[in-house]
Amino acid sequence: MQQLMIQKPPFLRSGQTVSTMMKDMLLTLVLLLPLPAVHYGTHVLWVAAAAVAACFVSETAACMIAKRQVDISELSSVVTGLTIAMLMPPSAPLWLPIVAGAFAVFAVRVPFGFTGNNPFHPAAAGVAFVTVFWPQRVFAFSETSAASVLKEGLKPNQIPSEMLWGTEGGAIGTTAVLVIAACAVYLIVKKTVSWRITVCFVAAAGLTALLFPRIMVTPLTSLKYELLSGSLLFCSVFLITDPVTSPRTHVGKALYGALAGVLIMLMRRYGAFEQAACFAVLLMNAVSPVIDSFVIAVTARREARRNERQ
Amino acid sequence: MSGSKKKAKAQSQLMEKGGRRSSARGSKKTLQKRLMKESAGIFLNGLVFRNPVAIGALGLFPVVGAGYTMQNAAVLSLMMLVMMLPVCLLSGWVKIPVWIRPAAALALSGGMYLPAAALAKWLMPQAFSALGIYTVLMIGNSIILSRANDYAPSHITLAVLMDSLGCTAGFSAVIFLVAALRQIWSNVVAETGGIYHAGAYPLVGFLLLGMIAALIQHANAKRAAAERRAK
Repeated sequence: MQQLMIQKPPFLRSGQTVSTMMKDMLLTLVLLLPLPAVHYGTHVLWVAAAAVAACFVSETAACMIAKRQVDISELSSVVTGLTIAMLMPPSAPLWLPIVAGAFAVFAVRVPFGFTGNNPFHPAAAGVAFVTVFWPQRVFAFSETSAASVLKEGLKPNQIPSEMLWGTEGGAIGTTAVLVIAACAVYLIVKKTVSWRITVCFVAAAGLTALLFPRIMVTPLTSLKYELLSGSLLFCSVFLITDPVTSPRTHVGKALYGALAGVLIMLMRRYGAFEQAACFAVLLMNAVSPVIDSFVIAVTARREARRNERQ
Repeated sequence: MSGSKKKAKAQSQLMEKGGRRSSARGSKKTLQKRLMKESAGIFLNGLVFRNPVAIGALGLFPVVGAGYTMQNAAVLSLMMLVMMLPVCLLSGWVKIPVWIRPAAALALSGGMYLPAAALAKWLMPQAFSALGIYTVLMIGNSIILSRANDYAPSHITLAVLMDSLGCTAGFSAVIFLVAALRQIWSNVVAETGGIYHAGAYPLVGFLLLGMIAALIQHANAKRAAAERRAK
């Protein structure tokens, strides 16, 4: 006798689950580690391990306090930990990623209901937290970073082509531009991240750099320096594209990416810190539901007008 | 109406103006006992269970903006006590038309600011001057205005007194706790090579308030569950 299966919608599935998305993110984040490990030494790996362990332990502790089942297969806490590690300086003391990880889990993930419910990007919040209170530790790079030179209104010593290989000063996972680009292609092809957000973010940031250069160089040189320095490209692939905190509508995603691109450039120019990506992401997370509501309202109004005409 | 509902209504009426005649039954001793119990309940509500800052989200600005040292907390708590009690009692005693009540409460609060400021300045001159605009802003404190405007005119003097004391105690408890934790945070961050006065950031105040509110909500939920089980 055949059994009638009663299941919840959606009935058409793309094959993408939280677990597969997290695995893709994890793979790409791990790919960002070898280059800085070779360049700066094995301490980079310890920083990554500390961040991942902090997030995992915090998540497990939070699950036990909230009397929830601990789901190891979900991996989102590991992804949060690795993302935090990527935004740390290579010589960071181990307690710095631990503090950031604990804050990300206890203040941003857990109070809102764990995975899929957080209104703010946990890793961005964790890094922003340590940046606010320990800026000298977070920006303690062994070599002067291009972002800090640009912040002072000067032209960096490196030529833009030298900034592709991950050898300049900067956070662990943000300097290897070519690897980040390869990760972006992989994640977009696998549909783990939305190309609309990434493309609109980079385009808006690039356009702002072209039109309003911070330093006295040609617009094209300004564009190269702005895109290749700091954590802008890393942010465009790993932070701003978070499916939980970004808008759901296609137009909303494009608008969200573009606004974030402009915002990060404004924060680079007028903000207090050389790397403003995390703050820009958090501010955009706050307006993400508003963007969705706005897009839905405009679409509904347009459809209503079209129906009236017919 | 069920028996328990009737009892609850009678209990709430007891502290309302003119409600004693309809709800007060039994001997004088029983009535006194009930009044004492109700008064303790009102005080505890202000202090913990319906804390105006943590649960009502009233009077947040002194806690978040200025509650980062124990001296600041002491000055603001003292000012709260000296201002709230007379403002609420006067609002309860004097019959004022509803339409002018908010303005009257504000004017009363402004009037009480002068003795409160003088006392705070006399007791803690340095902390008072360091607070700057935050002391003046106590005139518009939403705890004082909301209780004077909404609660005091409809309740008996004993209830108003206990409510004012409870709210002041609740405000003081929260601001002292937040200030202590913020001072600890400032020391921890400074000792680990971070910025100075890290606890003075409003971000820290909001985070701590959120945690305190969550703890009280958790306690309230447990209390409600225990009451349901007892019934």
